[in-house]
Amino acid sequence: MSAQDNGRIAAQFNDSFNARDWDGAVALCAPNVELVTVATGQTLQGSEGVLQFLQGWASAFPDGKVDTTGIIADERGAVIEFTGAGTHSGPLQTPAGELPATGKPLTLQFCQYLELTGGKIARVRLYFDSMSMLGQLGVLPAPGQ
Amino acid sequence: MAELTELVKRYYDAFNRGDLDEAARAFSPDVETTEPGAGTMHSVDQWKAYGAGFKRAMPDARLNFKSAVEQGNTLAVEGTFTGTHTGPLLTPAGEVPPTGRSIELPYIDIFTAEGGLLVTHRVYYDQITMLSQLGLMPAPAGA
Repeated sequence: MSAQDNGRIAAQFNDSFNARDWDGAVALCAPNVELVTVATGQTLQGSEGVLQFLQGWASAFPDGKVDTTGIIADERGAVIEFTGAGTHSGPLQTPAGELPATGKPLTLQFCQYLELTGGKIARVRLYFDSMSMLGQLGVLPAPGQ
Repeated sequence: MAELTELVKRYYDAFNRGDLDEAARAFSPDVETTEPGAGTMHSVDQWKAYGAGFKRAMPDARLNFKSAVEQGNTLAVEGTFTGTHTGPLLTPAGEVPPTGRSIELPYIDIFTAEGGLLVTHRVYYDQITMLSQLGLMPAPAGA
């Protein structure tokens, strides 16, 4: 696939989150897609994994939206930068386990590395700083305690 | 195109050798660097001081280039930062004495270049992953 196609698919994957279009997101991915959340180490696979990956954020942040700030793409992959914003109104997976709703707003920078094969997303690695996330949600312990 | 990758690799190699002066030559003097620990820095001198802090804490610190996506004057690198904490480390909570622990921290670097120099640099990594690997991070309250 061309760089242009891969960049477009990376953007569509984010758009499908905003539209809560889970079928659309699954359709962009290869059947054996692998999705890694780097901060938590969570690795998910396949169509069920795609649903868990996206719905996890949607249930923690029901009003959550992502806003793409940059896309870099070539023939093998794409890297997409985006800002995610929403209100923490449901359980959230964190590096230390599940965090119940805090009711606090969150605005966080994300970067997602996608490997694409034949026009389908084969691997996703999601990067963000969970220290900033937990700090904004008011649950950050002081380091070294 | 390939020149941008070469430029970044020269920066990585120099950083890995501990030659911060040579590493800094890849950047424009007013490079804007954004990263989780330091926020946004507006000059190569600020970046150099920050990088030197990591080298002091981990003299064997290395930026390991894993894979990259390049388009036009922009390059995204996925890599790992590795090192052994054998010197004092500056954290938001103060200076932490050496723990002797090793870290392997995945990151993404995004560079844009103009005129053969890096003019913007955004870094994505998880600070809690780093502090946890150093044994400096307890479980978040309420989680």
